[in-house]
Amino acid sequence: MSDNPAQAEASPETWRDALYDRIPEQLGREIEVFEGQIHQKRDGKLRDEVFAEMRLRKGVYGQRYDNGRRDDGTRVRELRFPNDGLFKGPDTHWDAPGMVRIKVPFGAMTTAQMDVLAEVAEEYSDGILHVTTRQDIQLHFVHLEDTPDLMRRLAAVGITTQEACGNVVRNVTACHLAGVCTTETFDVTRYADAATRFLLGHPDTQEFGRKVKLAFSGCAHLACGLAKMHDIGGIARIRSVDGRELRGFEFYVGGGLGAVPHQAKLFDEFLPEEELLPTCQAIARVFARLGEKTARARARLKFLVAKLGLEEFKRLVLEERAKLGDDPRWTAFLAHVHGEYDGPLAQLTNGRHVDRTPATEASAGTFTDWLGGNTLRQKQGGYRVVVVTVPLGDLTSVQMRGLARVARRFTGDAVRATVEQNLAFRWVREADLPAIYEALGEVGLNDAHAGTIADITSCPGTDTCKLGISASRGLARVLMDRFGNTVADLDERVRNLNVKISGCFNSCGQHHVADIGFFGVSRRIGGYHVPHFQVVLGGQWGENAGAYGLAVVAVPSKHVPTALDRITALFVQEGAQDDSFQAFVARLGKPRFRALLEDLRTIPEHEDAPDFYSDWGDPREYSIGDMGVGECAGQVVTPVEFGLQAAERELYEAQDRFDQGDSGGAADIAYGAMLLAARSLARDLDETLGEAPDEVVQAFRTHLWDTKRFHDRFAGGKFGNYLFRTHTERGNGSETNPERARQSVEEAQLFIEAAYSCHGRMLEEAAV
Amino acid sequence: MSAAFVVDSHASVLRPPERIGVKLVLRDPERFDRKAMIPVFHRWIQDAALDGLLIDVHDYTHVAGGPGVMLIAHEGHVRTDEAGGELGLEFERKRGATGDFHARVWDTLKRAVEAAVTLSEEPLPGGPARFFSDRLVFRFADRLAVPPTDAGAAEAGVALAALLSPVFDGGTAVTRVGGEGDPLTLRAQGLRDPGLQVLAERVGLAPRPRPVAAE
Repeated sequence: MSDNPAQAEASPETWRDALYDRIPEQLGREIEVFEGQIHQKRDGKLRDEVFAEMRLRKGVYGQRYDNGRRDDGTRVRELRFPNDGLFKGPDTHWDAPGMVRIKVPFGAMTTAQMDVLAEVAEEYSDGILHVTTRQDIQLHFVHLEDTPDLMRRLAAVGITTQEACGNVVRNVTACHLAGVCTTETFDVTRYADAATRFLLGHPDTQEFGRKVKLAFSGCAHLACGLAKMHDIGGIARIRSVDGRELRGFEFYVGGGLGAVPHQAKLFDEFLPEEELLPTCQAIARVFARLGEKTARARARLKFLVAKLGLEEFKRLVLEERAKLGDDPRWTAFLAHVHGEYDGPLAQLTNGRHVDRTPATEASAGTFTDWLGGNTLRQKQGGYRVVVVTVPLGDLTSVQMRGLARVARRFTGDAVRATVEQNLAFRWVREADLPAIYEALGEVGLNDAHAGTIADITSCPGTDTCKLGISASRGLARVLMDRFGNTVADLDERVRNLNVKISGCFNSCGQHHVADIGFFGVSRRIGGYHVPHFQVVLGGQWGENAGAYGLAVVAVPSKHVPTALDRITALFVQEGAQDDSFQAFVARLGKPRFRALLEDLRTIPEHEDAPDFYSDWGDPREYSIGDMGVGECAGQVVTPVEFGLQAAERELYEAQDRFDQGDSGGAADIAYGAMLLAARSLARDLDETLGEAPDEVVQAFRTHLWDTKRFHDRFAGGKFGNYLFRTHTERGNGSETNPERARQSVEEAQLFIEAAYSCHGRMLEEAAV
Repeated sequence: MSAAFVVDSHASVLRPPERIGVKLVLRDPERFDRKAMIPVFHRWIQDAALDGLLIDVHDYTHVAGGPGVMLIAHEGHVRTDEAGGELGLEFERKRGATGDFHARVWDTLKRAVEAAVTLSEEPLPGGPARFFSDRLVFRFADRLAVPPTDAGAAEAGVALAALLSPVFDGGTAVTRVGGEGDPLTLRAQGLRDPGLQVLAERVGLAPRPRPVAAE
């Protein structure tokens, strides 16, 4: 922008004109096309469903309440947006504010990009930039019609939102320490970059039934890029052949969290680097050809791998690989993989040691904490990575601009978003640490305790997500406040635990891989919906998300802080000094934890303590999904609820059996729990219903499935399918292996949750 | 009007902005608990206490120097803003502005004052919110329409001083504030404090049924 008024007189009137020579041609054309699609939709020339997929592929999402309905705590109100009757997707109002997801490949940002991210956040959103668990940046409360200009401004600094959502390859993630890590096998950055460029918009990645996520890690033993919970994951490996060191990847496929998490399968112990991109392409082709297209709940790559079996899947991929004609892009990038992706702003000139004297006396204590918790030595001597703790991943635009200034001063273009929703400043000279600590403090971002129990990961939950059941961010804020001032005094083992929270079972907060995870569910107590969180214990963050935890018990939201206190206190009291939390949970067993929290399952009557009947940070009486009817006060516990509680107890037994290594027993009991829940619901509609499995399943199908009573507004009937499939497998005499048993337990849990929701809806229908 | 602004009358750089923020600064920020705004804003939605389509409440109190608790609306947001180290109540228009620069800024000012008056009537834990009514902070988060340049600041400063003349009895000092890279942010300081009620009347708000809490 010119400071010269004479020049400014001819200043452009649109961002298109202002940036025409700075936007890459292809990207500019794609944005023009999208803007044209917006006009077409506005003119009624595109169907809602078609336009929805178009905008999603541009990273333009819906948000909570975009259906034009919101329960304000007294009643459900219509939100009368100006263009009433105009939609940007099925049941999604045109004028409803939405979310924009901005892809940041492996989280790497330049300072110029940070400046523009700040600008678009303050001009088009609510002024907050949200760092996600997949190293993206999200903006909320954005109007659809502002998105083309938002995209242009990002494109001018080399950022795209293209394929940030939709059934395509999502942001490619990688360890934020790649290239500077002391334990990595090699720097995976260039590989992640090559995969990003190669797969973006590739014709073979446009026909998927669901999204595909890739991740790269430099080490196997740390959390690093979380390669094992991705559809495609690569962990750096070196193999010596004839005295030469060859690079490649321990290559995984079919991992994923979501409602039913799957551990990735080892596709190849050593996939040579030159085979990385063609193998990804071949996987894309197989997935596009054979993956589920209609039943979204089973359309991820993990289900295809499970359905075909790893060996058959691998055979198909290798067969596809053999058919591919050579593409120079497969190997062109290899010429650059040995160079550093980023580097120091300035070479070391004044010593390599940390000056432990902070600039002000007042900050001395916190500086020491910060130095210990938020900085990591790089493999390049004299430099450290500084991890900026970003509370709940939220930054203001002013803070982002301030961070860009800090980066210009100390590190240059060497900032990366982390999967723990923080920001990592690489290449900080050790001698500069006190100064960068002070500089970060000036933008309110030099809190210590990154990666501790106080550094909580949370998905948006009911704040903005349409699928949110409980207030994950509200709970996270409460727990952060609780630990914020005391974390330094905690037992070290407790201090280093990680806590992750999702607002529903979909696992966006990655609760499955936390030491202590929570995910939102609802329960009906005394005729009221009550927000709850399932407590998930025993997940493993290390080893690239090496193991998934299992739910122990559902606790009312307002009791979760107490539950967390009890769990951590027990760890201090009974955990061996060298116990990992995972080992501790396994040793004590879930029944012990269930007993520990059992009394917290109950809450006072509504009239005595109404606070229990609202969620964290939201004074409205809790309801599910802003449903269209009021609460049914005074309801007594119904026979269905007794049945569902019995099913839940069975489920816990299944979990315990699984933990004890009894896969067959776990699967049997999980199946029984589903039957029990199904019978409880169906018997409410058919009092003559017996107990024979065939009879129960048929009655469930007739009364609840075919009538769509069991169907959730968002998930449809997918949880009912778990019952049908398991019942069929039983009839076929299918064998149960540990993985299938584990899935059966997870599926039974989701089925029972869905049964609780269904029962709530049935009660409300009855009340009306 | 600050003497620092020099305007080239032949070269206008301003266009009517879409996104404008106006903040009224709190007199007693230490008494003001931003968390207490969560139930207040929820009630405002229930009662349709402000003009426009009020949608939701968002809690950003965990973000240092941030918007605190926000009332999300279609036309813009109301937030307990502490940018620039001054806690206040800001209305930031996002959509639906019409007319020229003057008309858009005036309408935004009116909505900001309406929000402040409404808040001043709330029984808050720390006592009623009290605002300085002789100082206003204008933020133009619309870099294309109101460039954050010296020329943009000069022209917008002159325009603001003229616009505020009837509000502050003619004497208004407008100075540029904010940091490097920020959208153009101008602080307007009147010579006299007219009081919130008078300010409300001067921007064209109808008298409210309940008296405004004493300043």
